[in-house]
Amino acid sequence: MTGYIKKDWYVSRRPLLISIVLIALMAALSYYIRFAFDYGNLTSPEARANIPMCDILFCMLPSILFLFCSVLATIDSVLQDKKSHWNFFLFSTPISNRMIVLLKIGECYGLVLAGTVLMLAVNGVYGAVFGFRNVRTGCLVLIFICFSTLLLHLISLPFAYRSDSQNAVVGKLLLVTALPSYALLMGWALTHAEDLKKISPSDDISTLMLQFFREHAALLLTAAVILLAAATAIAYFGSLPAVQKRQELCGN
Amino acid sequence: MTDYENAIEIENLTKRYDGFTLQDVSFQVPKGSIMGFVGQNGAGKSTTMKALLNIVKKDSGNIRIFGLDHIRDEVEIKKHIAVVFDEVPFHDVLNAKQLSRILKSIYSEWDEHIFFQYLDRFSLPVKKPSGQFSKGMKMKLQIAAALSHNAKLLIMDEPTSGLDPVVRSEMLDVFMEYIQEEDHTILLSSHITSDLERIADSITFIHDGKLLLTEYKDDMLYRHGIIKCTQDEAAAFPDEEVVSIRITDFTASVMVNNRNNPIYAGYTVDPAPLDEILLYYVHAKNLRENSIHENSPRSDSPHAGTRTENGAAQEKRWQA
Repeated sequence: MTGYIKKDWYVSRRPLLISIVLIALMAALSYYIRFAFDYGNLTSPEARANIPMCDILFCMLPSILFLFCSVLATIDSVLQDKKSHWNFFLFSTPISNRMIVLLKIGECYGLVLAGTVLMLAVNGVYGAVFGFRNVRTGCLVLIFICFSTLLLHLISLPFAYRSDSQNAVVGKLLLVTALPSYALLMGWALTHAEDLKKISPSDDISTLMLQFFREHAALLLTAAVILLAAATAIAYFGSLPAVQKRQELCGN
Repeated sequence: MTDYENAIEIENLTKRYDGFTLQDVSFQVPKGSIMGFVGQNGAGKSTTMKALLNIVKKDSGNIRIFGLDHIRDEVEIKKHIAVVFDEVPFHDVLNAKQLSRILKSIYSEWDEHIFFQYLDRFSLPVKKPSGQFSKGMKMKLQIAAALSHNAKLLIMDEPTSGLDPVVRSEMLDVFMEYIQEEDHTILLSSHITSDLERIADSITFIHDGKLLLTEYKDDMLYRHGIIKCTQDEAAAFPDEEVVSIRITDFTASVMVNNRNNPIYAGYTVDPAPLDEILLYYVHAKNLRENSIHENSPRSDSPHAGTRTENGAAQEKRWQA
């Protein structure tokens, strides 16, 4: 069974390798800037006030980059299968359609898990060098981003199996994820306007974010489990008929 | 799974598409033999092969492979099948080494040693992406992959089309070697009848979604013959013996299906090559269908009712 996963790796590894190179470059840049705060031309107290925000951003940016690259890699592998006639071969091998979809879902989980571990390791080294105070918040945000990546991966599968181009898949994906997320955030901001007003410009963003996560941990974890189950169900039940349709198309 | 007589058994396979129907196709491929599957483009060869693999969902009929039901035991059957498609199904970025790693994890009986032996024999580079291969090299790669997991049944859809004669001959030798194992079977579709004459044990001929002929190749070649005679002589041959008659301005070539019949003693009966046999059968079928159409009671065609005393033989005539 792992042969199918190996195939996906060989076919789609380019965007992932590119993302790893970019993450390495970003890490180097973040070290360069962070050293500048301590020893270089950013040692003034005004400049050093930006350190918490920078620390969190340094943690977040690589994971956002990873998010884009890995989702694109997953979509790309599905689209490439169609273009290269791999599906003809796939449907002649000893694997059921159910297993094809389950393997793909497993790949999504595996890819995000590997990415999360990689990101945490990168941030762990950063934290070990410069202190974990802000990095801890960054890692929390990173986990949130990786979780969102997993949801995006899973939701993208039915679209990828049904579409012919990457643009179409990304367009549909944005339509069903970005717009509702934006509406949700805006709704939350409008209903919690009073709470937001309490935040003063001098408040430490790191502390505020940690506090928010702590206060809403139960709700967030429950929501995460429900969302994950829903996204997995969407991926499975949305992709299975699409795979069957692809099989029929191979027969025409 | 070892106790089976026919590697493939197809009974009354029917699949309907808009504008095309594969209708009641039945044939068997005995274990240890090579069956040539012939037909024009769009005749239904690929549909039949895809129905075998359950890629095409049949409307009715039964298919058994290795004695097992092709749907119920699909995964088990596919472990022992290798398929060669007319289009190479591997990604262009993959090289032979990567392909071997992939297939090793898909087929439990994958033999890396045999695969690399084939690559060496076919002079295929191991680390070059297959996208940079010529068409012949890609097909060789596909065939090498198909032959390297000890498949009991090799299903090939036009594997030699587009290959030059030298490579084609090389591939046919490889297929002959593969079939030396007594439980290995090949179903091979091809337009190149000379290839089939060389290696096939039996021939199945399909036309317009219907089975025209399925027979051992040697019997087929032994039975059929071409008689060159006048048109009047041709019209006198017994209808049931005549496949069809090709007429020119002054002469006729008659394909007969029992050339050893003593009634042809006064004629020279030439042996018929496979492609000629198939050609005459196609014309016979087309003429029969036209005749049925023209002679139907509701037909108001000016050609309707041309049946004569030599009626059927008359209907089997076609202009060269």
